[in-house]
Amino acid sequence: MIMEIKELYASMSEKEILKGLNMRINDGEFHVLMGPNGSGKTTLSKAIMGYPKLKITGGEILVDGKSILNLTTDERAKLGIFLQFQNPMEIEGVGFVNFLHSANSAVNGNHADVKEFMSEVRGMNEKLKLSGNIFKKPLNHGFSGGEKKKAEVIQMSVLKPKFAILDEPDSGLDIDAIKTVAENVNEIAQRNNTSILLITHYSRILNYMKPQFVHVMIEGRIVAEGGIELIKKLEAEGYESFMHK
Amino acid sequence: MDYNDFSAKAREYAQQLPEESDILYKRNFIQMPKEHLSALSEHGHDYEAARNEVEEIAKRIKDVFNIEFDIVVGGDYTYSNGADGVEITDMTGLDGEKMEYKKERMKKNRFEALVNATSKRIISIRTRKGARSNYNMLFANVNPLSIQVDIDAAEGSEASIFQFCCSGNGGSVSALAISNDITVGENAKLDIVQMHNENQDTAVVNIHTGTVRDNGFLRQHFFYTGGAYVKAIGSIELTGNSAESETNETVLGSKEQKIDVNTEIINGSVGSLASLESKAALMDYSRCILKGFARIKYGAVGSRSIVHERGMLLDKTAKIDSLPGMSIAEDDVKATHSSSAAPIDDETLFYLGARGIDRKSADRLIVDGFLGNSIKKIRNPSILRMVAAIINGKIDTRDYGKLPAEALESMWLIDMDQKNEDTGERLLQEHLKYRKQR
Repeated sequence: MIMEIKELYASMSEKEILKGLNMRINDGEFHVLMGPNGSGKTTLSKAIMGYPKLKITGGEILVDGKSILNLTTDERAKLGIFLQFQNPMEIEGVGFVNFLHSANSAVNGNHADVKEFMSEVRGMNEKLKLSGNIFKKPLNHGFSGGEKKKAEVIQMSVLKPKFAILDEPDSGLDIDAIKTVAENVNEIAQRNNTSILLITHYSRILNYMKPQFVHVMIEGRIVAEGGIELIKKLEAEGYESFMHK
Repeated sequence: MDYNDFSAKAREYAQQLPEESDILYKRNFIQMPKEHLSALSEHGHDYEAARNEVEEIAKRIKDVFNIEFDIVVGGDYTYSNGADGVEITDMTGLDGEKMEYKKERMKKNRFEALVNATSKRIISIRTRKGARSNYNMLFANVNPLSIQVDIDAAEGSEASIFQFCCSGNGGSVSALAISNDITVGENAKLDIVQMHNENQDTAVVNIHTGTVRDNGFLRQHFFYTGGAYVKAIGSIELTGNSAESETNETVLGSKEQKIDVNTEIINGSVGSLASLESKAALMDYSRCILKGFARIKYGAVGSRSIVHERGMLLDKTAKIDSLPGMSIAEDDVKATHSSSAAPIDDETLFYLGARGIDRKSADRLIVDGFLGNSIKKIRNPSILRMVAAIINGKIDTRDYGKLPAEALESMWLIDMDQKNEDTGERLLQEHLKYRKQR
């Protein structure tokens, strides 16, 4: 899947957040998006996913050359776009497995055999070093911060996306958990040839993931692009040197 | 005085009683249409036609859900398979005793008076001391139907009762009125599941009153999915020490349904525990009023009372009034009540959408989740399957009053839960444990 974002402008509650953003992610590529708080990273992820409260005021989002702006959120997900949420929603009463099965049926269009489906889910559960308790809980309800992040990875594994946005998958995780999450995301992406846009504040997760491209976002625009060396520059100089570019 | 004269006078008397007698709710009640309720006193129905129709309904339910009914009532037709403890009394041959029985029960409110004025039969279920028993009952208003049920769970007995209330082919203004009068004896356990799936020509009146004696336990589940108008009036009093009652009310409204659920739980004894959990999920232009009231009497030392009411609006045009209340006349008690009502959250829909789940499926998933715990408390898997199928079918079609042709696809989830020991029974045990901890 080729994701192209051209001169994208977006606002929420009359406030313009994305101001002419450009980005292109080719099939199977791994990109990192970094930027200070409030620069619009999460808004970009929501714009790609079709967040209804976000108003697109200009530009385009193209998937394999076709605009997705008129598609609803679920239609975008069915195209193969996946958003790992920074703060996954807690939905009381909706069982995690029930939810996973519904999502799998919706995206992959098949009603998986219960045993096979559960076997896959349990396998991921073990790989992510999760306890089986999340199967008995409502979706994200009563999950610890780490469990929420790992539950998102299970969803990614089941849905087999072509393009995944990972919005701060490392926030709130301890060192071991970061490694576990990163290794599993790598494995899922490799298995499905998934293009990835990773949003993060910290370079620690990049010890376990190998992005090819780095973008720096300031005030709703991409102000710098490059390879992994850009992260070293960021670590040395902070975002200050990228301001007002 | 013959039955018809008695019934006419009794109906006239019933009409004089106020529609809503509690001052708290004077402005909050659903007005029941007179033309529907008047239908209850219609006579001269075709017995054979009613019999054929209601037997067909019973057969379909047995074929699809493997539920066999012990008692089947439709129009003037009544069938009992002779299950132990069941007695059906014809009230039309009024003798002094029967008339006094009816008169005594007519004092409470307009609707209970109406059921007594119009019902021609009383079904009595009396369990034997220490015995375990199970009764499935089908009530179909193939013609307007008014029925009284007396349930007496004897000391130390355990009984489960399922009452399925539905309509026949419909097409004319109709009503189904049912009154359960319940007594739970010492150390007895009684579990009642009542499902309403009447059609849109039908007004429903559901009365349930009862007492629970020492260490007795009464669990009631009411599922209101059918009927154009529903008036439910309940009052359960814990008269015995350490008696418990758990009442669950689940409402799923659509189209222009109007559902008024008025339930009182009364702690009248030492160490008693009463809980009432009401949930309503509303679609289209439906309206629901939840009026749960907890009363703790003087002398009910160490008793606990819980009232929770929750509403979920799937459409902006739906409306709910949640009015929990309490009256406490004893100091050494624990009492909690809560109420909440809200539309489905946009962020929740976005999250589900991001997983490919469209609005219709999201509604179903969320409502399943919202009502799921109530459904899972049903211990009989066949009944659970049927209730869930009706609820899921209604979420999908927003229609009501039709029998589900088959168990819906989503049922696998409940099956899986059961295979994983995540059974309704276990959930219930956890729920009770949680309640006791609080």
